[in-house]
Amino acid sequence: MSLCQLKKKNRCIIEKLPAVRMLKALGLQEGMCISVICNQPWGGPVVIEAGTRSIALDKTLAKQIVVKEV
Amino acid sequence: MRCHIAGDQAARPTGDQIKILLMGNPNVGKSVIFSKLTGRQVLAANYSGTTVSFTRGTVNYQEKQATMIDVPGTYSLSASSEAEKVAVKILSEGAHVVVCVLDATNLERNLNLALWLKEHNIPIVFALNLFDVAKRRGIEINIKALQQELKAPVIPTIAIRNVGLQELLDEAWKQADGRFAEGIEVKLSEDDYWQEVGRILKKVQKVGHRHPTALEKLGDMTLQPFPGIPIALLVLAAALGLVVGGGKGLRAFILLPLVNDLLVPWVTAFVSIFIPEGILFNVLVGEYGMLVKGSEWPFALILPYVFLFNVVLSVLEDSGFLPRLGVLVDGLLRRLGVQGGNIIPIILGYGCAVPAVLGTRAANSYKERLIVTGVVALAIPCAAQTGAFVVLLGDQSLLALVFIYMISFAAIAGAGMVMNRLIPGQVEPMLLEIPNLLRPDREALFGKIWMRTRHFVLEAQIPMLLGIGLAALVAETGVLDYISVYIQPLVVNWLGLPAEASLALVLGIVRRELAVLPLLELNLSTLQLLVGSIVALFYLPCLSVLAVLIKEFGVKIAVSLALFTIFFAFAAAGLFNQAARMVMTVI
Ligand SMILES: Nc1nc2c(ncn2[C@@H]2O[C@H](COP(=O)(O)OP(=O)(O)O)[C@@H](O)[C@H]2O)c(=O)[nH]1
Ligand SMILES: [Mg+2]
Repeated sequence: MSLCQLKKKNRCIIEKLPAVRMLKALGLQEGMCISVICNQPWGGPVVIEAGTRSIALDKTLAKQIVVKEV
Repeated sequence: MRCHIAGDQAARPTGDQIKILLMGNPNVGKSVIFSKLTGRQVLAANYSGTTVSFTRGTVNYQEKQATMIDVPGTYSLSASSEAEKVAVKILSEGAHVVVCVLDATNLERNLNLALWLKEHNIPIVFALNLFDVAKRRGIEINIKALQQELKAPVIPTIAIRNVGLQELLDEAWKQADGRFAEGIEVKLSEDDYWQEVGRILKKVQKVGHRHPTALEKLGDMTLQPFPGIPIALLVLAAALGLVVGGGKGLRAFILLPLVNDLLVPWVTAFVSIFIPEGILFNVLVGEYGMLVKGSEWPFALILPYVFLFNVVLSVLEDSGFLPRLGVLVDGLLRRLGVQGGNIIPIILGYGCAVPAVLGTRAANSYKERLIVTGVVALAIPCAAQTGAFVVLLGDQSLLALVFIYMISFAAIAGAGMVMNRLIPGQVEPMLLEIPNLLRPDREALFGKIWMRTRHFVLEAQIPMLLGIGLAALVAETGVLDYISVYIQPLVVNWLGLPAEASLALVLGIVRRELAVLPLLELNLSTLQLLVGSIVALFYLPCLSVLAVLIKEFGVKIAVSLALFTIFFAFAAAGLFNQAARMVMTVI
C-alpha cells in the first residue's frame, strides 16, 4: 500500500521509493522503518518520523511511496 | 557589507593565503561558525535555505590570514538544486581544506555528505556541531571511533557558544598546510553511501532511551493540526500584540518625549545659532522642518515598531517554529499557488520586502518566486509602514486599523489566486526536513536584532531626511499648490482627499511609510484616513525594493509590477471612496 493510506501513529517499512533524488538525500531508504506523525488538512503534507527526524512530504509524493505495515 | 553572490568568480587566494570552505547539510550551524570565526555577521536561522548565495570572510590565525567561504548547505552534490550547483562550482575552484560541519543530532543523514567529500580526496576536518542538543537528547557519539572511520580529525563543537571552534581552526590549519587541492572535480554519480553510513553509525553512536525533553514534546505538538494550529494562532496573536501594543508604549512613554523634549529643542537651538529666520530656517527646523520631522518620524514613530518586529522575527527564526508553520499552512497556501515553506518570505515581508524578495530564492519554482514577490510588493505592509498605520489609525480607531489589515489579507488571497491562474508553471511538492525546536541563544538573538535594527536606522535615515526635506521645501515655497492643479481630479475628486495629500503620494515613492505619515498632519475624517491608508497599502514598493526587484527579476517585471501597484492602489481606494460616499448619501 502507499504511505498515504497509512494511519496516524502506525509504523511501516519502505518498500519502494520513487525516483526523486531529494528523498534519498534526506536519508530515506528502502527497507527503512518510519512512522506517520500526522496528515495535514486541506491537502497539506504527510509528516513522517524517520530516524531522529521529522520530514514533511507532499501528498503526491507520499502516494508514490510503497510501504508495508509492521 | 561585501556580499558575493552566486556566479561571482571566487578569486584565487593571493600568495600564501589559505582558502577554507565551510560545507555541510542545511541548518547545521555553518553560518554561526562562519560569523564567529570571521567576525562577519551573516544571517543564520533555524531553517534550511538561509544561505543560497555564498559569503566570503577572512579568518585571522596566528598573524596569518585565511579566506573562508560559507558554502550553501547541501544534502548531496548532485547539482540538482540551486544551492548544490553553487557548492559544486565553489569546489571546482579548489581549496586548501574543507571544514565539514556535521549535525550531531542527525549523524546518519550528515555522514552521507561526509563520506562523499572524503571520496574526493580533499583535505578535510569535521566539526561535530550541535553537540549540546545531542547530549540533551541522549545521543552519545564516540569521537575516536568516528575519527578512525572518517580518517580525519573530528572536533565536537557548540557553535553558538564558541565551544571547540579554536580547536577546529587549529586542525583546519594543520590539514591545510601546503596543499592546495586544485579544481576539485565532482563526480556526478548516483551512488550514495547509505550502507557504509549504517555500518559506521553502529560503531560510533549510541542513543540512550530516555523521556523526550519538553522542547521535543512541544516540537511534536506544533506539527499536529491539533494543537498545532491553535498554538500557531496564539503565537501570531502574541507577536502582533507585542509589536502593536509594545510599540505604542515605547513610542508614547520613551521615544516621543526623548525626541520632542530633548532632541528637537537642542537641534533647533543649535541651528538658530547659524541660520537666521526665513525659508531655510523653516525648511530645517520649522514646524514641518526636515530636522524636526526627520527626527520625530523615523526615531519616535517608526523605530519602536521596526525594533519590536525584529525581536519577534528573530525569536521565531531561531526557535525553528517557522518551518512548522509552513507545514501547517501548506494546504492553505497551495490555493494561492505556492507551497507552505513560502510562509517564511511572506513573514519576512512584514518586516521589509527586500529580504523577503531575496528569501524567495529558496522557493523551488520560478512561479512561486513570482507569486510571493508579487504579493509582498502589492499587499504586505512592511514594519515601518505598519508603524505608520498604527500611528495614523490606531489612535483614532482600532477598528480602522483592523479593517486595513483585513483588506491586506483579502488582497493577498486575491492576488495569489489570480497569479496562480495567470502564471504558467507548477507548485513544487513539499519535501522538507523539520528542524529541531531550539531555545534561541541569547547572544545570537541580540546580535541579530541589533544587526537588523541598525540596518533600518542606516538605511531609512537618509531617504527619510531627503524626502522630508523635499516636503518641507515644497510646503514652504508653495510649489504644492501648483502641482495640485494637475492631480486635483485624481486626489480630490476620485479619492476625496485634500489636495495636500498628494504630498504623501510623492514621498511614498521614496519609502513606504512616507506614503502614510504626511496624512497625520491633515486632520482627515475617518473615511479619508481609510482611503489614504488603502492607497498607501497598495502603492509602489519603495526605491530599495524596486532595486531588488530589478536585480532579481529584470527591469521588465519590476517596472510592470510597480505600475500595476500604482494603478491598483488608485483603483481600489477610489472605488472604496465612491462606494462609501454613495452609501452615506443614501443613509
Ligand atoms: N543549541 C545549538 N544551536 C546551534 C548550534 N549551532 C548552530 N545553532 C543554531 O542552529 C540554527 C542553524 O544555524 P545556521 O548557522 O543558520 O545553519 P546553516 O544553515 O548551516 O548556516 C541557528 O538557529 C543556530 O542558532 C549549536 O552548537 N548549539
Ligand atoms: Mg547558513
